[in-house]
Amino acid sequence: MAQASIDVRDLVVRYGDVVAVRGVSFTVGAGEHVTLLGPSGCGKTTTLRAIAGLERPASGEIAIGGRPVFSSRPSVNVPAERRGLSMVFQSYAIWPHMSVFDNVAYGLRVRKRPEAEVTSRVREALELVQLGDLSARSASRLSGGQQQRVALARAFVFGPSVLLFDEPLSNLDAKLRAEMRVELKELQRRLDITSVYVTHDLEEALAISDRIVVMRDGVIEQVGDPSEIYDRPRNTFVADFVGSANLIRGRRRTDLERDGQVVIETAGGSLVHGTAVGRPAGAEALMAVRTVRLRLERTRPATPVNAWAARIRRRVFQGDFTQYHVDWDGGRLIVRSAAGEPMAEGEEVFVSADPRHCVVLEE
Amino acid sequence: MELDHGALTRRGVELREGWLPGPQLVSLVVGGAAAVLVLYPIAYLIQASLSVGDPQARPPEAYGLDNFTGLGRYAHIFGNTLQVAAVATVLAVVVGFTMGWILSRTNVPGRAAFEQLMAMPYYVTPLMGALAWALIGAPSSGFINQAWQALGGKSHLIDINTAWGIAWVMALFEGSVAFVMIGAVMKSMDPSLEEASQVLGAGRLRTMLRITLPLVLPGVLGAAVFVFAEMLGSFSAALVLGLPSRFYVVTTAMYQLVSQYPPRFPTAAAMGVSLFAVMFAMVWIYRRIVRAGTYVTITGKAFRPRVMDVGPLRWPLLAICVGYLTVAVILPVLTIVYVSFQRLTMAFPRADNFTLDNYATALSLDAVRSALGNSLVLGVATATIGIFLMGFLSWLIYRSRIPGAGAIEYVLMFPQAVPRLVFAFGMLWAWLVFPIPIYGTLWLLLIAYLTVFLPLGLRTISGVILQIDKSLEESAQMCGASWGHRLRTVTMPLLKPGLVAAWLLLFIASVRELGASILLMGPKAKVITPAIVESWFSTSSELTAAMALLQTLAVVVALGVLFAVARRAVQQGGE
Repeated sequence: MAQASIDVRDLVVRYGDVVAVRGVSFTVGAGEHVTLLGPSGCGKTTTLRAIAGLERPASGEIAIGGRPVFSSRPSVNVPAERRGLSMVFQSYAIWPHMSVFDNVAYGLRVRKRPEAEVTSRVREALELVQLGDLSARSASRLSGGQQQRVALARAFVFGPSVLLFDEPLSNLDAKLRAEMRVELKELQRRLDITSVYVTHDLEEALAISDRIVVMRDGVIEQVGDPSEIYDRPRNTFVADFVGSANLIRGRRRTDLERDGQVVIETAGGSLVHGTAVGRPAGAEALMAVRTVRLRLERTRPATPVNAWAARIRRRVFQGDFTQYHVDWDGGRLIVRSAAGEPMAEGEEVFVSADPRHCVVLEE
Repeated sequence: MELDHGALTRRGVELREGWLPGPQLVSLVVGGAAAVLVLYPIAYLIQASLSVGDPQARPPEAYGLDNFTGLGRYAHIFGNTLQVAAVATVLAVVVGFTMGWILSRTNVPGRAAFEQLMAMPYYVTPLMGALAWALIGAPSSGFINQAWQALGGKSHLIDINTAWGIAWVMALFEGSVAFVMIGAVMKSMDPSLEEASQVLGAGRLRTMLRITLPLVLPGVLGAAVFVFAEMLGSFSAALVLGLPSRFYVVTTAMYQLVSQYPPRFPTAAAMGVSLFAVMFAMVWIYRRIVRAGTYVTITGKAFRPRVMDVGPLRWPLLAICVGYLTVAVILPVLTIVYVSFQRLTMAFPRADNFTLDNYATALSLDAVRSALGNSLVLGVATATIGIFLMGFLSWLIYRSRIPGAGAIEYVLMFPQAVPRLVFAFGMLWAWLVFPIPIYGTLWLLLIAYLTVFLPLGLRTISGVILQIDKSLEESAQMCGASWGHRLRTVTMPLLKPGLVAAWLLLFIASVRELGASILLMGPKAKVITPAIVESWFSTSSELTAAMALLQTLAVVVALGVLFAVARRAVQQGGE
């Protein structure tokens, strides 16, 4: 059983009087990599720990591979050690009194595998995380990155049906984190195990997930694949949390709408064409457009719609891109541009956006 | 369990499997047993205090509050107790604060060494201190007064057999406790809090008054309340120094009431309950202070405290450190050693006054030999059973997440608020009526030690447990290990250093226990510390000094042997 699906239904977790998770439902298909994304305190780690069996939910149902492991009615609660899954902890939780080898071998020895098999599988796992030559070292003498790899090897070596990750990269420095992100993705694909990953880091979530579940205050805000989450945020929270976005509010101009587009007129009189992605839009609507989806040009672009005159107010050079704060329509827009030649502060320019990237938000 | 469709039967099996080896049942049994151990004697103590019939009758003939209303006659004893405890607390907190500040915040030479040495007074114990200071400061024969008279002084210079003398000895001992508590607060304070004040333009004095002091104040206050509660229940110094001048505090008065003929149990019990009530309030206040105050300074992070360059002031500060250790450790120990080799205690050495007879006598006395042997056996038994019992209880309280863990902890920490003598009094009554005749045997002492040292053991072991990140156990669980397997392969090995430390503490504390032992030991099963006190009052001070040193020596030798054995075992295990 290398892969198992996960079904979470109406999950509620309480800590005393505090409700950490308030009725969360989602599924993870066999072999799928799903990320729970959200700010701290949103209930993502609690949800993960409930799946693991380390937190006892107040109500709801959790099934792994179709088999209920928790249910409030009828009462079922399979202890964590019998759920057949595995987990990488935020703190790594490497046992300091054991060697690297013994740490990794733990799950196999618990399952009473013959010692020859233990040796070969541990060696294989350590090779996979590029720690082959460290197996005899005491685990208390490892760097953070090495501990991370040991934790990984220990988690997958005994062939769990699901791998859970609790912010595994958050204790690494930025450079190592970026490296490990790629490595982790490769490992995930190679092992082909169902995984649930918890993080508050957007880039991490976008990089390694098949699907992302965005959470806030114990409820799910949006579920979708990475590009969907990024380009079509459902509401202001997701738009804001998932990378930076400009929010534009305006009165509906149904008289100008065609081809399924939604058109609004801002307080300053600008017309913005956008898409509703099937969402209901009322007499007034709020649109989000990503800062990187806006274009700056010195001459008016040839597009029929969504090109507006504006003025550069402030320019902030940030290396990979330049961030412009632009006076537009009596308000402010933020534009991130990777273009080579910089615009000067005070310059009169044109801002434009593809209507596909101006997305109506639910309110 | 009945489930409504067949596909779910497998689930039912799993449930039952999950329940059977589950920790709940074991937890309930062990937690319940420990709670009985604590509460059973307390119940008897309260029952005895309410007995108004024949004072010797068990169970009581009639109940009432007469014993409490009659305590008015002993108002002076309560006054004495408060006086001694208050003076000693002020002294101990001054010592603790001064030493804490010097050793954690100034560049006094040899700070690291002094910090280690500050544990010494604790190991000297109040009994040793009281015996030594009785020899140094007794009104007629004390060394200081002998010297004073040799210099032409009239009558005596100091009198240790007073409230002030008792407070002095207690403060020397308790000063190191206050130091540990206050020093910890000073060290856990983020130095950037002070630096921020200085950067914003405040001078050193202003920073001290407006930032440092308010931040450490809750810690100091907490230490003061804790020390005061300990002083209220302390026994040995008041016994050794107060008895000759008929100066009684509550604990010694209780002891007197119980050991006189005919004993007056109900009155003693009422005193014990009153003292217990006051101490309980103190511990409650202490907990409140700690909870309310620590959030400011103690963030769980270890900071490198900012050390102040005090310039030439270093040397007077060094003198203070040396001075404290001299009066608290060096002087008492030297005095005991010196006296133990003398025929007749004299301040000035004379060649013909030296002898080894005291040691020969002590070692030849059957009573001493068997008492010492009993104490060591009890020490090993208490420590060994204790770490298993208390280790399991700590894990139960802080890790297992069973319902009611908080209540269990509260009950188990109860003995902390009860002087050991008072607790032993409850046990005396409780076990006299117990169907299995263990009264007067070492078994009773073993049970008593395990009970009164519960807070000590729990605090030591739980300190280590709380340092172990929970995820270390959880990750074992995620690897599929059952709770027994996790306990054996992860929790216990990680706890080992803490368990060793707890074993040593329990061993030393048991061998030197006085308050409970003096009431509970039987004539055929004596232990060493009460025997030393007995010898002090009924034989010679020279013999007593020799016995006290033999006790210390026995502890050191026993620990040395155990360490050697343990190290060899570890080495062999490792190869």
